Amino acid sequence: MGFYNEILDCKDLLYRLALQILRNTHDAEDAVSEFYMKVIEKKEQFSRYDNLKGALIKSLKNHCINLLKAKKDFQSLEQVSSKPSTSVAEPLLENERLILVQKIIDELPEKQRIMIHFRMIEGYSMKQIAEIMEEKVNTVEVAISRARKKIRAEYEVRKSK
Amino acid sequence: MKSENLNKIKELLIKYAEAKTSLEEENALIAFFNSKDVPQELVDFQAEFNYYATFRNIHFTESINEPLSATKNTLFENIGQLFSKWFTVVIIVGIAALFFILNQQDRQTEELLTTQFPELQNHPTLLNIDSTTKEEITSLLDTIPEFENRKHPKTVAPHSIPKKDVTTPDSLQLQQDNPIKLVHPPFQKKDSFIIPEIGSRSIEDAFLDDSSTLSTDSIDITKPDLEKVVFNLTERTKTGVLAGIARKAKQAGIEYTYVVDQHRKTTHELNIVMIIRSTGERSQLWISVPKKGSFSETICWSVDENGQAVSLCPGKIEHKVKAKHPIK
Repeated sequence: MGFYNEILDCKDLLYRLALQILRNTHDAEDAVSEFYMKVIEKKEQFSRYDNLKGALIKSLKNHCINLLKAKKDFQSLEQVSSKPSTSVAEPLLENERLILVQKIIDELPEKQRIMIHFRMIEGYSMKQIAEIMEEKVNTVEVAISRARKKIRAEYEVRKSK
Repeated sequence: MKSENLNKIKELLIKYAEAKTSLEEENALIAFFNSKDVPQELVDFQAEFNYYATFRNIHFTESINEPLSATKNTLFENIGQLFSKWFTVVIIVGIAALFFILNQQDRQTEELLTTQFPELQNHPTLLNIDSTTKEEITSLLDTIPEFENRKHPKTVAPHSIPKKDVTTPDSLQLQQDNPIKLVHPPFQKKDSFIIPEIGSRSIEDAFLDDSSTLSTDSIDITKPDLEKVVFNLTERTKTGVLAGIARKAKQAGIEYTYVVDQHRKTTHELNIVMIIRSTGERSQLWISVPKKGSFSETICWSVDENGQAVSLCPGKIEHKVKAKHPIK
């Protein structure tokens, strides 16, 4: 498979990851488009990776986290609440219960949120997640367990509100 | 639902909370909660698993062919890569053959000169002049019958004669009506031609002086063409592309600031300020787009061989562009 076909095959996966980290469709679309430009510019570098898909995921994750940090810095300069004003849930999810789940996931610590995403949405093994996140497998299992319990507990509390 | 299955699901949910379930078990849970056959006591778990199932079906609908189109020519690229190796080999062989032929020609000329005029062997520097020059020397020497017998250096009066004509004194016993051509190196420009101050030096010195002077001073080193980096902007230009332009500009040493206001992927307001750090050249573009309006504007800069911006083109924009309204 050619380089371009291989990177294009990852576009849905990368977009979902960007959406999960950046929390809104507009930023995610921009991030993915910009990321693809960056990948094409550095084609030589990316072509050298044995696991191109893994490299793309890792690189996009870092790219989105940097964007998020920059956005937070900008918002703190503007003295606006650091909480995201719009959620991925609003345009994409119609069901109120699903929107509530999305809001709870949005509030999880960043690492837990990304790990839950890789496990439950992309279906990655604990070992793969550990490699992407540069953590130990045990750490990933503990973080995912905590995140699931938190989602469960928060949903119980907020569902009736 | 059978109680066995229900108990199995409950066990899986406990394992799931401890992150001890396998991917297959988790997929089974997602499938179970996505069905309509969910018992009332487990309904509260349904939202979380439905959320995952919904998120899995999100796809990137935007076109990313735009950044790829500039570079995606895999077929031509592959053909190019295939031929590039052979092309390099052909070029190298061609250059080698050219050198060989020129060398052969030089040898032939040298042999001819040394055969006809053996005393030239005492002036190896004269024989080192390029082949074109040698041909002219040969023709020049043909015009001097007493070349071998001369005792005094030949004088040249450069200011009183046409540029390419040299007169010789009687003492040299040369024929007055024999014009001696001064040698013009092939690379010399006509308008920068300088007749060297030869005075009373020998003609060999004149040749040597001529070639050495012209090889250093009169070669006009012209600046290489500057490469232009051009971007076309329209109301549909995506913010990702704008961010890419900003990054390119920063790489080129331009202080690049832009503010864009977009609604439903259409630009309403776009302000761009570019300042070249090294020269201070400044350009500003203000675009205000009315409802359903459109615009097409070009921003560009020239870069030197190091990729650093030298100038903004076309000149300074420094004006406010009111986008074209479709009705007007």
